Amino acid sequence: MTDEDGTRHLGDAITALLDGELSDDEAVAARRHLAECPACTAEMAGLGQMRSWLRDLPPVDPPPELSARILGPSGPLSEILGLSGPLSGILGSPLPPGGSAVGPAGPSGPPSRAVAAPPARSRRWAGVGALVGCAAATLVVLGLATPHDPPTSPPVAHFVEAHATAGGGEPVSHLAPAVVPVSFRR
Amino acid sequence: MNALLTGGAVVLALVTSVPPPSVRTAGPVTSTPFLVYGAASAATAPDPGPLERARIAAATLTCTGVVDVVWDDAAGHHFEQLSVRAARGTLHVEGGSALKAEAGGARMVRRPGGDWDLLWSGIQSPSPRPNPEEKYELATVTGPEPARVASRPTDLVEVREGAAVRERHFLDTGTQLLLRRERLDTNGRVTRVVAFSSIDFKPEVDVPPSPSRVTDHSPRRMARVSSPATLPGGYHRVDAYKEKRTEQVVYSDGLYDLSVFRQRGSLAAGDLPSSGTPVQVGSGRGWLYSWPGGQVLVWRAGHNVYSLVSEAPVDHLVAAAGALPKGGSSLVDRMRRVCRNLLEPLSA
Repeated sequence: MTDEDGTRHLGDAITALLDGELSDDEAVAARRHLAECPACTAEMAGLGQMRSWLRDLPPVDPPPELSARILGPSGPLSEILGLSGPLSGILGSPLPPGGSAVGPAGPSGPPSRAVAAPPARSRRWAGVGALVGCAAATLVVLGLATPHDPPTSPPVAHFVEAHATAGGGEPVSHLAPAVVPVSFRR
Repeated sequence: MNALLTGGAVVLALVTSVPPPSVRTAGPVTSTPFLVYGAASAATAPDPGPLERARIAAATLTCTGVVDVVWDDAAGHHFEQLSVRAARGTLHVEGGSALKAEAGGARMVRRPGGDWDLLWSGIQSPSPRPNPEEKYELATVTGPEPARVASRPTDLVEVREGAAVRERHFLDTGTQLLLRRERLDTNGRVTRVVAFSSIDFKPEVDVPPSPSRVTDHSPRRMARVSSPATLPGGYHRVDAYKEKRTEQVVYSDGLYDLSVFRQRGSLAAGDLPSSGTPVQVGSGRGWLYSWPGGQVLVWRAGHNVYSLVSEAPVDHLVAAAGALPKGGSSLVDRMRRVCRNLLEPLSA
């Protein structure tokens, strides 16, 4: 991104930096730019603040009737599995026992809809197949998507300490170096 | 920001790891009261080798002394003096800021604020360390006059790997305690020394009492390990631990230990300490750090960030680094990571 006086700014790279999506070299270059650019520093601070606010939002409890609406006898899950009154939600009225395929046809007029519903066993298999298909599609999408690797900064001094105290061998020469005060400067 | 490596004391309790007296051998046997192993079995027991004799001596002797730690790195020449107290298996090393000691099979560090951290609970590795003589030649070098360290005569043992001398060990002739240990680079130059500049063997040595309160930071052993069982150069996996999201796998070739720390993620190179030296690791870039006992190599491989800590020569580290799995390239690995990323926010 370039502003009116021709100064280049980070633009979308700020979001990528916050998400840890930049390569190591790109991240170093971005941080170097941030150290010299107040505008980008302010923008990054604003984005960081917004993320912080979003993270701090209180959790919202779902309405108590939500699960009943999903899992209940007329809910979408039951419909998919064919456990009760299939298509009732679509047709607006329950089907007769046995899963009759024809809609109401009274003597007073033509049937309002003539829908041929499959037999119950077929519908159940179709529902299971749909679920399996959805799950497979989800896994494929998830598997093909590039996972996000969180940025990691190894605690070098801590690792040295853990190594030195976990080791075996001759103890004096092994442990003495571990108690020499050394700082790995940032 | 400074990341202080230490700020306290390290305490060892070695009594439980001392082998039975029958192991004591053919090495120099004297009338010193500090050698608890008798000479009765010397004629029949196999020689455990100079390194094991030195370890046994350190685990059984009672003494006080001053130890010099000297090392060279890219920043120059370094020198530190430490005081050491050893009393029947408990070792107290003190240096830098105020330090303190503790015993009981554990290893602890006292922090600058005075709090004690337990860094090692004393659990024994399920796999024994390899015999160093399978890889190295331990050659006793005799000269017209024995070299003296801290005014005591010593036996000189060279640790050779092929034509290269990796280390020189100066063992006290009377007790077999390791009085001086030198590490050499590939040019034969001494790069690290840990040596007693003075030592005094005493019947009794006061070691500071155990701290009343200790914070347990010791790692937990991993039940299932996916890291390679061996690494190039004769390194065998001897143990593995996990602390939070970091895995530590310890390898050994009998002389050096090598800890491989693995973290999932991308390397935030900008957050690394600036004192590192850029090095080539495989096709990528890594950073090499020096500490008084050895080196640390940090690099990213695939979706893993590795930190390799060891006293071993740098060429050992580089060879080991090239053999570690990158991880995360298969579809199953990717899906596992996606699922972990999805579930972690829910479990937090």
